[in-house]
Amino acid sequence: MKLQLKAPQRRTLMNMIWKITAVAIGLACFFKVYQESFHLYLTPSEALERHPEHAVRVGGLLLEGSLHQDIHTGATTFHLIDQNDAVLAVHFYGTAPRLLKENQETIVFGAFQGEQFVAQDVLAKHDEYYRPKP
Amino acid sequence: MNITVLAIPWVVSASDLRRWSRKLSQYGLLLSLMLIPILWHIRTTLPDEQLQGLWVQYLYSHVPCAFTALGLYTVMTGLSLSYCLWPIKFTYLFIESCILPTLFCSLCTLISGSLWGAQTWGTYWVWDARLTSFLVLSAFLGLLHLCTRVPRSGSKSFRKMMCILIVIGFFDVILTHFAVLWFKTLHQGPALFRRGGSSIDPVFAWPLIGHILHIFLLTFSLAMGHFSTKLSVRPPTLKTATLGSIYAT
Repeated sequence: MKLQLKAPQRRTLMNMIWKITAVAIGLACFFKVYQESFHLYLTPSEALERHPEHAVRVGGLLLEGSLHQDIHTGATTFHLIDQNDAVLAVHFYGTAPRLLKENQETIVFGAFQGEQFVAQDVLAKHDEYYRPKP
Repeated sequence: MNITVLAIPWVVSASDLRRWSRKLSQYGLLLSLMLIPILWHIRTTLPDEQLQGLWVQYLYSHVPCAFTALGLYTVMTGLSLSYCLWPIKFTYLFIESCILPTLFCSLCTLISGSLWGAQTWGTYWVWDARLTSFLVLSAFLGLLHLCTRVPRSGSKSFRKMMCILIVIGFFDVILTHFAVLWFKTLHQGPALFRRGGSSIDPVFAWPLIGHILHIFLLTFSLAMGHFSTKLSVRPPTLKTATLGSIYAT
C-alpha cells in the first residue's frame, strides 16, 4: 500500500510523531521515578524492615495453617509471607471479608503497636484464576 | 492502493451514510436485545466459583464493559490521529458519537466493579493504580462530552483540538491496561488475554466472550444511532428517532 501524503500532511505527521514520543518518554520517566508511590502496599519484608509507626498497607500470601478466628474475643490472627520468606503476624478485630482464605493474597491496613501488627482493615485479593466449584 | 480509495466518505453521500448507520443501529439494537434472554439463560446454568461462589456473576457485567470502554477509546484514538491528517467531517462525527457510549460503559464498569469489590475484596473503593486510572478515564470522557456541547464547536480547529485531547487521553488507557503489571494493586492481573493462555476456566470463559461481544454490539449500535442523528439535516422527529437520538436531542 502506498500512502501519498502532501507536504503539509507530512509536516503534521512528523509534528505529531515527535510530540507523542516526547510525551510518552516524559510519562515513562515520571512513572519510573515515582514508581514507589504508585504501589498500593508494602511486602511483609519491607514492612518488617521499615517498622512503620503510622498506618500502612501490607500485602502478601496468607500462610497456610496460620488463620485462626477466636469466637470469644472476635480476633482474627494470621501470618502474611512473601517470596523472601518474611513472616508478618497480623491481629485483626473486625469483620473479615468473604474471600479471606488460606493461600490467598491478602492486603491489610494497619500499624505496628509495639511488636504487634494490628490491622484496622483487611482486604482479600482475588487472583486471576476462576475455577468452578468441584 | 491510492489514498483516494481510503477517503471513501468523500464519495459516499451524507444521506447514504445516514440511512446505513440508522439501519446498523436499529438491527444492532434489535440483535443485542434478542441476545439478552439467551445470555441470561446461559448465566443461570453456570456453576459457582470455587472462592467467590455466586458473586462470580459480576464478571459478566464488569469485564465486558471495561473491555468495550477501553477498546472503543482505542478506536477513537486511531480515528483522531487520522482526522489530524485527513480532516474528514464524518470521521470527527463518528468520534464524537462514540464519546457518550464509552462514558456509559466506563460508568457501568465502575459501578459493577465497586459492587463486586464490596462482596469479594471487602471494600467498594481503593485508590490503587488500576481503579484510579480508570476513574480518571471516566472523568476525562465526561470532560470530552462537555467539550462537544460548547457553542461554536463545529469549526475545524476546535475539532482538531478535540482530537489532540483524545490522543492525550489514550496515555491513560495505556496506564489503565498496564497498571496491574507495573504496580502492586488490589485489582487482579489480566485473566482472559494473558501470556500462557486464559486463566479463566472454559466454563466461565466462553459465556464471558459472548457477553463481551454483546456489549460491543450494543455500544457500537448506540454510537451508530448517535452518528446517524448527527448526519440528519433536520432534527429528529418522533417518527425518525432511534435510541441514539434520544440523548442527542
